[in-house]
Amino acid sequence: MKSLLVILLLISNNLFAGMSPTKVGNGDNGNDLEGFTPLTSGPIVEARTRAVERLRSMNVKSIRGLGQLIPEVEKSDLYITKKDISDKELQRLGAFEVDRLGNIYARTFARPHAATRFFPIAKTLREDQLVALHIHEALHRTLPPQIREDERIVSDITLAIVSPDASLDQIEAKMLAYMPKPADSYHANGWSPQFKYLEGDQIDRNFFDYEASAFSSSSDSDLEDLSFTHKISSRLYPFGGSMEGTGLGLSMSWININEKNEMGPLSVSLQHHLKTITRFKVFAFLEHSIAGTSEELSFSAFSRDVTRLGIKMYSFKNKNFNLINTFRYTLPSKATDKTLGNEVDYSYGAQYNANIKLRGIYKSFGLGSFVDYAIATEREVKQGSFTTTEDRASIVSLGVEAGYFGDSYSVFVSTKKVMNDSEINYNRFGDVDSFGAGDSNVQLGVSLLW
Amino acid sequence: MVSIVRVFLLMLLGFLSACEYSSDSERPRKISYEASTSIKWINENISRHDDPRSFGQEVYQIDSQSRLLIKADDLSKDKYSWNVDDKFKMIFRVYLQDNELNLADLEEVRLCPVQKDWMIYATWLKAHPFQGGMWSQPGGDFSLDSCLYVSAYNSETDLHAAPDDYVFPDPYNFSPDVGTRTDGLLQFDVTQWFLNGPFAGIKNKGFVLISGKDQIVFAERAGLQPSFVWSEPVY
Repeated sequence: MKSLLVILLLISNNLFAGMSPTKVGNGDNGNDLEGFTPLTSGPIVEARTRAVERLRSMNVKSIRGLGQLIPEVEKSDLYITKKDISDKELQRLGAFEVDRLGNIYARTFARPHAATRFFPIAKTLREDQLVALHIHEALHRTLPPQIREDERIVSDITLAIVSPDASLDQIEAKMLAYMPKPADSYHANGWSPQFKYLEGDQIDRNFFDYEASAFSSSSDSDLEDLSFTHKISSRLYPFGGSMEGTGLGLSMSWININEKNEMGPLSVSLQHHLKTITRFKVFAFLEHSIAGTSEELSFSAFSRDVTRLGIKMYSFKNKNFNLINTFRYTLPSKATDKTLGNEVDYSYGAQYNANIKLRGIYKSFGLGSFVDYAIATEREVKQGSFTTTEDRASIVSLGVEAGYFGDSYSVFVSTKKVMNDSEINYNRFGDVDSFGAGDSNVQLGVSLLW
Repeated sequence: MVSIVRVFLLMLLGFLSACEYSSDSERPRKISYEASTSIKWINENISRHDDPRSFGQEVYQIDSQSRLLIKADDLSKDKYSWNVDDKFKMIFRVYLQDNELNLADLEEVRLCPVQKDWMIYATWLKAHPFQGGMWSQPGGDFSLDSCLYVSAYNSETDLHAAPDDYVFPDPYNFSPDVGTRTDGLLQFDVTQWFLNGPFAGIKNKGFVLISGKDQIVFAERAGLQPSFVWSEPVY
């Protein structure tokens, strides 16, 4: 309880100081450090051990922005000065941890691996207060540069960690409130603005997207006469800020088959940015696609509803290269083909799809290549007394893409070619949106972003 | 009210006790059954399994390049558990457009059991379009040795009915009057296939109707679909 009091005093001190950020660290001339000695034992060192134990038990390293907190607490060199110092003198020197009574307990520099210096009065604090103090000082060295010198923010996060009812979710929520936006991080790293939106489903902003695909015919597909698909998609973020909230997407499509336009699937999707402490960006997505009612689709093995879920990971080598890995899992589902007046029932097994894309970007222009691997597990087919179970099938394809990624819109064109030697039966996959209906295709996409 | 029920029960008991089963008496034929069939026309020049010419037609031509695959799933599903006696007959009926076939023509028409499981997507080359779906021989897997010839052509008598010397008691005299036909009725006696042959107790993989000479077979849309018929004794 006393530790809370200390933190509250620290916070209130800063609040009453006019709400202006308090700087920790300074162009230290060393005056305050005269006569310091290393701390290797005693209550302050023991309190550090308790602090590390607490942080480990709460797994704070999994929270974005706190990945280095435990090492900073555990490895920081500890010193103690021979005499206390007045708050006025410290104010002259720079920042410090001081309560409203003017007592100064500790000091550090707001940079990684800096030492922590305690003043003798810190020995009067109880262990839980010292634990809070260790964590507080380490936060100054751990947090991103934009916020680590803001005493109010650091104190608030400290309070979230040492609070008796602290939980990982509460700490994560607190961090989320203060952490700079990832896009801002890119700016801070000198990256180009276009890296904020690498493609239509990169969610720094909402988007409206149109895609058209042209297929080469496949003689072994129910949809061998399918020549074009068109899809209009939109994703908005009504449940939170960009990059942080959950995106709600809608997609509707139509297909051109036998020179007629027929309704394709209608899809609803959710996409969420997963928090990571790494430089990777990871998105989880869930999509449910409802089969169209057109005769061409109904009278085929493609007449099934499809639910897909997966993750998409972005890695940035530098401002000119990024790697995008996508893994998608399609749940088993069923389709009924009513062609020929006889119902043919298809029971699709699960399907797996991995896609690796390497993209280079120069200014606003991007050029990339990708490999796509899809596996469909066993499928059972029934018609009357006839039953057969098909073995696993796979599609491996290579593709290239080129595009312009502007501030408010992007355009790309891509093409891919199936590499399987044997002929692919696209019925086997039964998902035009994901796997198409022909061995090669050309895709054009236009996205408006805001 | 209770007395009325008692009287009724006593009467019923008396009626039942008066009935006597006699194994010597002829059992009347019950009714005839007819199992529906699904049909797929396969032709050497048609490769698409959903070619509209291959299903749902009024007539199909069978010849050396065209055959008619026929399956009766009802028989496979045990929808009917027929009672077999010494008069049991299972007949397969086919109606041809030509009702003036000669003996040479009839000898060209045969019904053969198919040896590979097939479905409505069958084509000349494939029993089905899925893995392992190729016929071992184009036109379907069957053996000429196991084919049946026509048992009766435009006969006045339905073969599945009881012998001529059997007198049907009314109201079971269902034997239709085939009379003068404008179509040609072929009847194949497939009884042994169901008693001792390829369909006795195993999955029915269907049949193929073949002909070395051109014949026009009536089908679904004509209302004269090939069918299985049989009759059963009353027990």
